[in-house]
Amino acid sequence: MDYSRRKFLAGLGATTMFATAGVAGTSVIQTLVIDGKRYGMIHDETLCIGCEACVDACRETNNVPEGVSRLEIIRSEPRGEFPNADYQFFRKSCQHCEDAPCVNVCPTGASFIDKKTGIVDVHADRCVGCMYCIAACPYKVRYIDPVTKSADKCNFCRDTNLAKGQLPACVQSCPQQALVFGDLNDPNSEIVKTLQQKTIYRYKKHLGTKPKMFRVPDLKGEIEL
Amino acid sequence: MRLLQRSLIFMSLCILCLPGLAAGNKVVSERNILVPAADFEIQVENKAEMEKLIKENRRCIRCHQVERKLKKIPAVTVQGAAHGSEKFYDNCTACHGDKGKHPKQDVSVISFAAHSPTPLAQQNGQCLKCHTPVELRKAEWTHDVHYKKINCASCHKLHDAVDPIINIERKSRIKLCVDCHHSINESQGEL
Ligand code: SF4
Ligand code: SF4
Ligand code: SF4
Repeated sequence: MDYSRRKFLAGLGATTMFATAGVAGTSVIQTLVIDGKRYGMIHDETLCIGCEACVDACRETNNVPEGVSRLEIIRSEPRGEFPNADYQFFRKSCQHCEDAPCVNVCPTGASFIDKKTGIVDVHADRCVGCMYCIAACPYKVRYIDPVTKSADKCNFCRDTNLAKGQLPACVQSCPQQALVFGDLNDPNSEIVKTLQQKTIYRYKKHLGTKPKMFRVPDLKGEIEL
Repeated sequence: MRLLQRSLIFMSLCILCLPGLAAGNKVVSERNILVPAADFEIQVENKAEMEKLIKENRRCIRCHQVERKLKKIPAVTVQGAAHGSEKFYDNCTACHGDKGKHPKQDVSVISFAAHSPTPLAQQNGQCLKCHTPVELRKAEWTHDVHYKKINCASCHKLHDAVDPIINIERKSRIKLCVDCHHSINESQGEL
């Protein structure tokens, strides 16, 4: 699946104007090459209890104003009947796509992938508020911050907790250890080990965005005999 | 057997009456719709039953209205509007059952606490006589996932002036989840 504007232009260049194909192609590669760490996260839906401690921790740590949110926990309809009913929980937040539509469509370069960490972030001072990225994000996790007037979303606490050498606020606050954060390039990291041990899915993976948000599915009750 | 019959009648009447009650009741907030102001009339069908109820409740009041100094048993009060009733003589028996051999045998009254000799299912079953699963879910989804695991009295305090869990603030609510689940995880394998 190839939807990226730059790749599209690059392809166009290759078939029509050979001279520019190389230049456009380079810019695509630049957004994808990561030197250093490649941060990702797991949300274990089997452990999550839907307490939303993560939601509030994120808001406090990252100064997210009321009315918008970098992170939501979406609760399913009840499964089964009282007193045996239970719920599924889905984490809605930025997937830190390796091929990020929000970055590809941004006309000013405000949306970017940090080359040192693979984190998708926004330069608030470069954002002009055109909202292309909001329309392009297939995960619907971006918003315009009512205070800074810039597009914003989860940045794995890049400028807050990570900058202080701490784990992201949501990960720290979770009473269930349902969130695992770490470097996907490090074979000894907890996240890589967990990915090897548990059944994992990625949301809308078929779009080819290469999301770095992994999920352990909570499937009990899915099959009724 | 008699008790069982009574509770069955109580239960079926509850279910029949709840929608009607809810309609004629002032709703304080979205979260408070759980309990229509308790109409204890549904417990009794005739005069004889009412007389028995009064007699049973008088037996409770006789001992519990003052502090039992020797054993340091505090006086029991029903302050909350939802569960107190003058007409029904405080209606202790609606929840606690008849006196039976209490206090010689503790198990003969239903008591509400984590360490109570009354089994968890029976404690919570008492609440379910009036509060329907549908209403419970509407008031708070976590009822669904805790009903079989912890007793209602872990969160609800009916003898206090205000039930501390009702309309709890978001922050305190999350803290409650975090603290409780954290301690469950800590103690895993030790229970
Ligand atoms: S989830 Fe949306 S905001 Fe996050 S990187 Fe992907 S496209 Fe961009
Ligand atoms: S990683 Fe940081 S910014 Fe992202 S959801 Fe968690 S707390 Fe919020
Ligand atoms: S803090 Fe953990 S358990 Fe609570 S909602 Fe968030 S991920 Fe789930």
